Amino acid sequence: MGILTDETQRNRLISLLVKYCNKLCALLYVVGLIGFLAQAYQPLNAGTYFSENALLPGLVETELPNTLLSALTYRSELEEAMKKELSSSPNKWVYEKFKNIGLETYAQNFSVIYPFRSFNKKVVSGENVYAILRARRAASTEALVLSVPLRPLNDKDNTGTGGGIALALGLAQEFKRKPYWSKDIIFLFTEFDHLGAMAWLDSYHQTESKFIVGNDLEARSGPIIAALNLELPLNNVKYFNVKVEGLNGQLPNLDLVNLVVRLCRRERAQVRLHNCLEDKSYIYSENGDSFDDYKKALTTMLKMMWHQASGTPTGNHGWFQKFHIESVTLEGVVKKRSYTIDINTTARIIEGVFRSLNNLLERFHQSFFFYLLPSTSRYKYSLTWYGITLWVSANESSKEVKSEGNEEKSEKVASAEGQGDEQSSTEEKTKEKTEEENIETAECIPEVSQDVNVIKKETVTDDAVEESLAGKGLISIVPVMLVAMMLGWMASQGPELLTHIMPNFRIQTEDMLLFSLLAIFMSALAYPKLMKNKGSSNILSLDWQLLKSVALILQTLTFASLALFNISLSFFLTAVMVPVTVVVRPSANKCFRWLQMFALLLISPLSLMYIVGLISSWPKSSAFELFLSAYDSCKLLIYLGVTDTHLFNAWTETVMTACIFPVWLLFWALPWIDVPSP
Amino acid sequence: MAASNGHEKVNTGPANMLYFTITIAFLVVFQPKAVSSNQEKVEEFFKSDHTNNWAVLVDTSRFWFNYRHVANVLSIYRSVKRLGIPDSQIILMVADDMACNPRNPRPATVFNNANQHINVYGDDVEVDYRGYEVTVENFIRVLTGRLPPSTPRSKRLLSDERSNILVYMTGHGGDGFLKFQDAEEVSSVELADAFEQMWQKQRYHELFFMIDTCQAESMFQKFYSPNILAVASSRVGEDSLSHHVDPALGVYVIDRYTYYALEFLETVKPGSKQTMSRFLKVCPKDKCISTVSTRIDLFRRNTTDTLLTDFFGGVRNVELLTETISLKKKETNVKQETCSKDSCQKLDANKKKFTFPDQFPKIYF
Repeated sequence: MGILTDETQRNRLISLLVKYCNKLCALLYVVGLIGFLAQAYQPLNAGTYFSENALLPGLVETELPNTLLSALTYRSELEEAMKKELSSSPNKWVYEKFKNIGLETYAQNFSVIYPFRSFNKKVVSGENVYAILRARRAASTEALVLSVPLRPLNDKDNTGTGGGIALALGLAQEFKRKPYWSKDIIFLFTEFDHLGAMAWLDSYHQTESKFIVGNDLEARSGPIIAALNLELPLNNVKYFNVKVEGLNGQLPNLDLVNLVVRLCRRERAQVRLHNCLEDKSYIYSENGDSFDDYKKALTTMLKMMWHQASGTPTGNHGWFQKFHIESVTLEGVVKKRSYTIDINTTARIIEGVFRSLNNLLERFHQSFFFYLLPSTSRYKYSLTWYGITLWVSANESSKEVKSEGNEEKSEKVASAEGQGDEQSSTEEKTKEKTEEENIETAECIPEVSQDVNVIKKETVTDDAVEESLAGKGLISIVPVMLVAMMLGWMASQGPELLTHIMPNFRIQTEDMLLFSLLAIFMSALAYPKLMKNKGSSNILSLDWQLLKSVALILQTLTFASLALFNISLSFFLTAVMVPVTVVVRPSANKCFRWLQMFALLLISPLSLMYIVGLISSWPKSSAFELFLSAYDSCKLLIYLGVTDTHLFNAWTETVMTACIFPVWLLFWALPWIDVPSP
Repeated sequence: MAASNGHEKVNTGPANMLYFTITIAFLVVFQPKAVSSNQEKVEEFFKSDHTNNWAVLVDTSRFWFNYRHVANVLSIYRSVKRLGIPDSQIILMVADDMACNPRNPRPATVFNNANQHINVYGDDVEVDYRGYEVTVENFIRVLTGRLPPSTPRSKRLLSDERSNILVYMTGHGGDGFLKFQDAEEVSSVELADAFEQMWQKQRYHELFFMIDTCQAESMFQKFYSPNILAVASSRVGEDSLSHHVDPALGVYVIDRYTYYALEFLETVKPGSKQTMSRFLKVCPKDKCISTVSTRIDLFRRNTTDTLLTDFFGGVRNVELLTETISLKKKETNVKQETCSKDSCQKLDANKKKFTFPDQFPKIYF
């Protein structure tokens, strides 16, 4: 504290803050939420533009023939070949064709070892095919990838990718003749979609994975600069979807997304985000501010955020991003009996993308990596405004800290709070940090701050200082926190351990995972009760204000750091959890207590998963069916989450179990604490 | 006799004297009647006091998407060469090798037009500073002549106080600077000081500064040395724009200002009477989109009387006279040894013959 600081001024601010704390909290939450959602409103976001000069999109004229006959021939040949073997991917066929074109063609075998012990343990093995087109006048120091997943014809879950394969072959033939490539082009065909892609990428970069084991690659090129993944069915493409969301909410550089969108537009092919049709008026300035436009844009943005929040890639491109390779997926959506985009148009788009990428001189580094898209041509830089809104919610938590934890309140906290009120987008992050640090230090040394408080007591505020029941200080809450952390650790490590320890029940792995998590969750629910019984007085008596302060700080920290890598996940969690966690407090009123517990249960990680399941299987004929299918998708979600953690190092499951869950458990303890009735 | 172009150092000192003599000769030789008609010729003859022309042509930006800058500078190079400045008096700085870029669909060529009329990277292009040699340091050193002794003559600006110099620059600029490659920039103040140093070291007689970048005007605003004429493609706060794309290359091939300047230069032949004032108006706003800006306050002569070829061509004014003019003999302290056919042999005999030393001196073996 500076010698020259005017303390009376400061204290006035503090007393004001304390006085209006609750109102301020509610206001900030509402403002934050509205402010965030308002970002889809056209005047509040910006049109996309190219930051990277080198791309020069669309300047170059196509050098493809008007009709790419080879692609058409390949397509019909492929269709026949696939019909012969309905249930297998056309690896051999693709390999032969690329050999015939005269490119360096290789196959890579890989196998996937299941991370859990299960009764139907299967080792999946597959084969990737890749061909390298060496740039004639460059030294193989850089590469681009055109990847297509190989899917058998009778794959019901996914649409076919035959169009992409035929196109890749046709383009390879054309590209081979051109003298102007400065980067090698790798044509990659992966079996089992992401498994193959991951195996190939791991082998390419010589990283080792425990569960996906790929053979060494026979040949390589240089570092991969960018990748384009194609999911094009054989026929009847109505429009394209650009898929951007990658692993753990990572996004490709906005320049690459812009490039693909721009070139699709240039060829008059419709391009969308998550199937959302968009109006021209919204994209191109003035008239896009009608409410209908806003609703559409908001839907698009929320859909994008929804997918980003999941942390699972929406396509094969997501695995490239793990290796810092900018990549997007271009998905063709089939709709019969309507205008379709023919294969030549698609070929020109892809040629354009590759010629632009060919111009690149360094990795994508301009433009944005953190953004949200309310439309294919509008963007919002997510680290500025989004940060603010998030921070508003975070700030709210810390506000609560102050009002609840009067005992521990030191001037340090208050000054940090005062600082926090000035919202400025640029300094937002650092402020948030300092604020949190301040609070934390203040909390961690309550003895010291209490000393300070003794001196400051009269000057700080005249507020009625609510005496806590049993002011035992930090020690009192340590056991609770330890238990919560332990349970969190169990939830994150448990399922895997359990599957190894448990006797061989003949149940599906999905069920096993769900049940084991459920077991941990249920036992966790009882922990306040158990701790209660342990004591001699049969009541859980501890410094609840301190506990709540710590819990809120922990929550703020978790969300704030989460926002740095997955803003969408952080937003959804904040929006749902903060109103409940801020309100929760021990109460003598039984009704209020039960209400709190119910609300807390509703926002528990497991019920959140179920709600996600509900939303993703929303339109169903009957309520029962809906609940049933929500249960299934919830189960699948958990299963995929856990396997992704093992196979691909996805973080979502870990975040939910090891971070959100223990924080939630701290709040869960609050209503159990006994307070004397007034 | 021909008026010597005074290229050698010895002659440049008393050049004024030489011209004075020739003037007298004219006045004496011609009949009084012919004076009026010859008067114009005489005036023309003495419009510029320069005896030699130099050009420093600089492209400061590299990378494939800056193809147009390389095309700009090579086009100007072609023009000044065509108008008579020899390669030995052109310092060409090109920051990137577009002709050999793997992205170039037509290897070993650079075109400044989508119609591909002229390969400006033709057979006889002498690039003096290339690639990473194009730095601010090298550029300033070339201008001021402070190069290391090992620098070959072809890389030096060996101008004198009778030299007219054309400095052409293109690249990416901002308000008060011009970017060199990706790492550094030359500021307008540095450039102005470099020109002042040149003036004080008598390295130029007149200098024409031509620049095609964004906010180009800012580069000459700080000039304070005499005899500089400057033209810039755009005002401060304006962008200079490119002219057109070659869709086969996929890049812009030339900038607007340079394009129209070249269009004008193409009509100029050696010995042409086009003046600088016309050249300065070569790109009106509707063509360039940016506003071409000029600076003539430092320039002593009237631009309407200044020939374009004073800067863009190495044209000497040559007049044939019927009368012999005896020029004053120059007095030199150096006693030159002369010899005739017979005496030379004698001299040679006296001289020691130089031989290479043995590679393996016998005394050691």
